[in-house]
Amino acid sequence: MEQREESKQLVARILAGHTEEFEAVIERYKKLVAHIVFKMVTIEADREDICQEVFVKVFQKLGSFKFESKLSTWIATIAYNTSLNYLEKKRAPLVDDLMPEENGLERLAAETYSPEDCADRGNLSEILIEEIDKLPVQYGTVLVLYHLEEMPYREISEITGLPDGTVKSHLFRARKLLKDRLLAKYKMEDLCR
Amino acid sequence: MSIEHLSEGRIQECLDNRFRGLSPTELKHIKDCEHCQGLVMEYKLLYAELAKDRPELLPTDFTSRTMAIIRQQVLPAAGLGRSSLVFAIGGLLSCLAAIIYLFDIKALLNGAASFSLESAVAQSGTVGSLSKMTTDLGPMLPILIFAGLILVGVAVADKLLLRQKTTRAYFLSV
Ligand SMILES: [Zn+2]
Repeated sequence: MEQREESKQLVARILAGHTEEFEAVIERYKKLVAHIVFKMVTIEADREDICQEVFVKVFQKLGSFKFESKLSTWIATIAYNTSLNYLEKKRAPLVDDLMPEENGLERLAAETYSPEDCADRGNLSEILIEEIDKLPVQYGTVLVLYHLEEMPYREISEITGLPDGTVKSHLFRARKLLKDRLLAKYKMEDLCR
Repeated sequence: MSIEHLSEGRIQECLDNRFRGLSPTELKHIKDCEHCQGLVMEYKLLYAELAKDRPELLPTDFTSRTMAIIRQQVLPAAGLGRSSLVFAIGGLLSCLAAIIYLFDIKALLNGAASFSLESAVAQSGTVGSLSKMTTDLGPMLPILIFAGLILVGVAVADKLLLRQKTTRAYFLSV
């Protein structure tokens, strides 16, 4: 509640002409925006430009923000929609090849990795980031919003425009896919090391 | 122990809700079932990894570069308003009047090529510091300089206020 009041005052000051204070908005929310954009936009060279585009849009639309949601949710929605427009332009699929067999799970299961391979490929966090990047875009986005940004289903649903039930099922399927992929590649004891 | 294992969805739900809302039968099952305990452990490990902070994704100068884009491409340039123009011209005229008053007006009008502070001081017949000159030339000079500076100051302040006014108008128009 306190943060909401603080955000209100900050926005009011910017709208009153103290535009330099928008810097605080960027500082506060750049991580959230980057989490969404970097998850949805696969072309590395475009990611930063899109993050900038998001903040320019936030600045331009600030006058129309009525605090009906949290400032973070509103900014995240702009980040999500900007990335979505980008994907539509690039004709990239949002939730593609969902079936496990199409994800090459069987093939992965057949591959064997020794603990040395595992060490060579860096720690579990790095392996996990790689695997999340291979997930369908919406799965990865929902995962990041839930686990890294600690957002509840309702907020994720507001940002993505997906019903609560879909958010929940995307999360469950994404986590199951990740777990199965990791276990197909590495033994549990290797991952726990 | 019942043979019915908990589904992976149910296990994820348990972790999401920190094991609240589990029926006593489900709790007892997890306690006794190695298979379900194994699944809980796997998901616990995954949850912990997913919540780990990632390295900074954006470069350190991202904020300043984005602010520069907003300043250059988004915000309308606040030009010099009519009021600041009046103040600025008034201020400059006062300063000019003070200079003409301080130096010999004839020397300026004659356009003496060698006009300099020293010659002006020599022509006006005053020797010594500026404070000495101002006392010799009467009370008009400091008043003119002071008024000039104030007007220039007002013009600058007006220009800054104009920027805020323009920004407010921008937000209302978007
Ligand atoms: Zn069981």
